[in-house]
Amino acid sequence: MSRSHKRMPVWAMIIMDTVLMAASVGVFMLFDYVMPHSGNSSGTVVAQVESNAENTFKLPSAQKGGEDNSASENTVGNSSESSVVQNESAAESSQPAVTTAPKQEDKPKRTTKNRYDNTGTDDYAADTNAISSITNAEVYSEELGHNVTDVSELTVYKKSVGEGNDKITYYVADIYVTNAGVIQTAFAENTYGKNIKSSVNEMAEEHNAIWAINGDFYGNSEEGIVIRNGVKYRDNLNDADICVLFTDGSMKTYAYDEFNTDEVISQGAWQAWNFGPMLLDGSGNVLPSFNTTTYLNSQNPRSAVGYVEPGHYIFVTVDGRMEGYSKGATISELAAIMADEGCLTAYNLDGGKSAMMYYNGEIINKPDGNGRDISDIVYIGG
Amino acid sequence: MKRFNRILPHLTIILAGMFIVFWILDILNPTMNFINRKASNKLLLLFCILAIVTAVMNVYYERKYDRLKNDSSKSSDNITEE
Repeated sequence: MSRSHKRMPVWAMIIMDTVLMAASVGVFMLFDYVMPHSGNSSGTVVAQVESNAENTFKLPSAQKGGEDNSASENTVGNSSESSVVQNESAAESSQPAVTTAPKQEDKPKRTTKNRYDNTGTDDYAADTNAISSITNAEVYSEELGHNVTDVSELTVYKKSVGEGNDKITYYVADIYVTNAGVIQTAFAENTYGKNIKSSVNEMAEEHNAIWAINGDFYGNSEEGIVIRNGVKYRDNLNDADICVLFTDGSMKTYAYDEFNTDEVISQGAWQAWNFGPMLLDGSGNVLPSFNTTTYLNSQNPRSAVGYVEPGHYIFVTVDGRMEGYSKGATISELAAIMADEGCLTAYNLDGGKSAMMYYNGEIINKPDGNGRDISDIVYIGG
Repeated sequence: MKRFNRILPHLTIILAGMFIVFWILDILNPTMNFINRKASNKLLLLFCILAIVTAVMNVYYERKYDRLKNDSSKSSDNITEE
């Protein structure tokens, strides 16, 4: 007597397989993208910042101080405390100072040195219309604060370009430091590893930071170089561009195929971020193409680091996904903003919900969906 | 064994579907590195093994079916000759 098997109908089989597939993807994501995995690595020290004459830069207030000592006494705090200096017009009127930034003036001299090739990558051509719309637009600027310590001078601005639904609002931290070692980074829970996350606020407060910005979210990936505060944790490269801050205060960006880890380490790599793409050509011009994808190139909240000269850096956080307040920036628009800020080299850090800037105890921008927990920050200590 | 034979193609379909999802996500956001992670590589190995086993079994059963079909046609020819 043969036993007959009742077979499942085809439609039920298809549904069952689809549901199982979705569940498998969910379990995979949960395991690999949510559950924290400690890196079990204390890293290798590859660089130390020596505060010798070569690697020490003068702060603008100190330069002014040379000319006028009385002004310096009012602005430079002691080594343990930072002093907040209000913008004069803001102090007088008790209203924030709103100015229109001068266009293409007072920019550092652009040179042809330090020009990088972006060929051989998955290039997306720069949007020249978007770039010109940013560079030709009036920038509305409001100073949010100014901090001076013995080792750093920091001015934070809220700026916007465009009107209505085309408006882009962004926050700029104009930072001068006496040496590259003042630009510090920190890991969530002070631990290197995958999916170890914490809020920008928590990390900044833990390190007594005056100012902080999100990093490259290294913990979301198993690949890419990670050098933080002169310690190398990981050096397996992926195909994303790389940004390196050197102990001599210079900053360079590299396409993945032109990056040589040993060479960069031998030059004194203090910080290395691996997200990208790089935005400018090392001479202050927007690159003709970017190593990115159509999806990543769309209008989004962004964070970026820019280099003006040794000891002078610009960090920008662009808000986005909020019509009327800020639509977000494409890579081309971000590159135009960084060029407009006077940077010679600039690099896109993690964006989207991660794009957050912390200043004087709070997140000053409006992160999409109230932001998210991330792996790392860049900060200036108090 | 019979139960394994039944589950095997479904496991292959599920893993294939997972990799199609990873592939699409990887195009959208390559920095998330969906395809080249350690866990994805292990899943890829499993997928390859399952694909080979499923294919070998498919070839085996097809040949067996053809042989049975030939045998049955020969035997029916013999019956008609008799």
